[in-house]
Amino acid sequence: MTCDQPSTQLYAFLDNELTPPERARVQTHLQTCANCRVELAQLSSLQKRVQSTLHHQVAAVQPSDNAWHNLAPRLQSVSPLPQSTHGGIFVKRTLFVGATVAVLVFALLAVWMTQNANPVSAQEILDRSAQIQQTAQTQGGIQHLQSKIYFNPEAAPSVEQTPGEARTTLWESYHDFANNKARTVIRDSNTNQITEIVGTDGSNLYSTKSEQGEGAVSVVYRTPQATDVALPFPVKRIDGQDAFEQMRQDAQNARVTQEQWEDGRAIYVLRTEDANNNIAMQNGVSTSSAIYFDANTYQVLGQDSYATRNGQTTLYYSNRILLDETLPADAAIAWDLTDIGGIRIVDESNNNK
Amino acid sequence: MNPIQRAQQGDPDAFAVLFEQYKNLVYKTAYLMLGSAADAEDALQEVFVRVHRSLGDYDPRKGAFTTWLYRVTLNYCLNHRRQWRFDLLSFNTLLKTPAAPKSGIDLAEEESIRQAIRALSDKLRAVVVLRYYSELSYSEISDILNIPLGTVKSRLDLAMKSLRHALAEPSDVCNPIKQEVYP
Repeated sequence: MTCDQPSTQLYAFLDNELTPPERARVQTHLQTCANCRVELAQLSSLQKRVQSTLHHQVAAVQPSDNAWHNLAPRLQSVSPLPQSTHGGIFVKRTLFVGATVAVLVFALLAVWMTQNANPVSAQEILDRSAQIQQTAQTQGGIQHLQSKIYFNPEAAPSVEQTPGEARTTLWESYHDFANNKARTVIRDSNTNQITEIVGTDGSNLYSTKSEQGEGAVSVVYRTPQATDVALPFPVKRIDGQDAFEQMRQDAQNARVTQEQWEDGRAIYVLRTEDANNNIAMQNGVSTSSAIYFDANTYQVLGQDSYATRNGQTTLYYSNRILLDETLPADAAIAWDLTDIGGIRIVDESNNNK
Repeated sequence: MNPIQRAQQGDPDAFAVLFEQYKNLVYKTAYLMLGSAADAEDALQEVFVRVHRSLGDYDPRKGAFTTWLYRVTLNYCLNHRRQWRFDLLSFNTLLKTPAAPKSGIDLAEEESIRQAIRALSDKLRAVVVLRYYSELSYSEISDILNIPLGTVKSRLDLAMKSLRHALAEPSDVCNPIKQEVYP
């Protein structure tokens, strides 16, 4: 993201419409760019005012009482067209995708039918998992998460993603919600070099420059931060801001199977087609995701997301949670990053103050 | 069997249930798109006639019923001739709009925002309504309007820039509004 054309990215950021790497890039950029923070605040304010106005505008209006009375006689003279004999958009799209999708759907159905019927619903799994996540966050300790994330930007369904090679990175994050402290260090899984750092010690924000996000970084910028702001970096166990909550609200569209994890333990797998709010096709691309839960503890173990173009399905995002634990509240964490070798911390004044 | 499936098989009672369940969605969306209760009432009738005629096209495996219903509604609205645009909107009205307060929502500001939204082109207003009233995702909007995801983003960006311009600089509002009203 550059400062001379930030608005599209900032709207998408506000609307939770960025991929995790895009979002991380914007977040990192916001730490160091006072102009964009001001711009973001103004855009957010405008969005809220527009939203509020639209809702107020129609809050009191409603169809007339005799709307159905007027409509019903007209329906008697309008015969429904025979089902699927004329080209609606869904029919056209089905034809466009053709037999490939039919075969794929049939294969998925066959696989699904061979799985054991599961007495636990998707809603129950998501609710129980949300409950343990919430408990971990509120019980006062420090949440420690290690993940291995694969991301292929060119295979991702986003239209405006940044081209680039597929990469696997190792993420390690600590979150202390009671004291507004957090840090996330991202390393390349092959070289172990640090590619991105973002965090706060309660008084300062730490971040690497956005343009350094693709390669190794050695400089971390420290910016004074207001002490009363909410922690800006949530614990993310699955792809996408608020993705877990969205999935809970849409649980009826998830399919559950009970399977075995890579280490042999029993897991629940929740599969959703077109995870982006049930839209099957966008520009000829469909998406699907599988989220893995420990069948006993309901902890999230990982996620795989696929994009299908022209009948070819490609994994574009994969996340494996290697460690998910809550440390004691007094655990010694170097929130000022002094334990990380090979980096230099440079103080930056906050131009926005 | 749910009401949609029963309505697809010709059950008139099920269609009445669908109407009752979704009439507000259609009516309020049309109201925001077309700008008057009378036009919204007409839209409600015409949309449900089309729904009755074409319900066989709807395939639940391919998307939510509401997505399909939004598409029928927006197709009607985008093709409907909007007389109000020429009757009620004038540059004089816009120029007389007081400057919006810098913070908070009040009646004067809401009226300014309403007028600015109405002054948007149909295409821009559609993405604003779907995003900020219906609270749909970009991909849902893309599917409903049958436009690429990138076009959704660029239209939202353009719409919000127009609104921002209209609200922040009312005395200089002629050009962008003129461009949107008379494309």
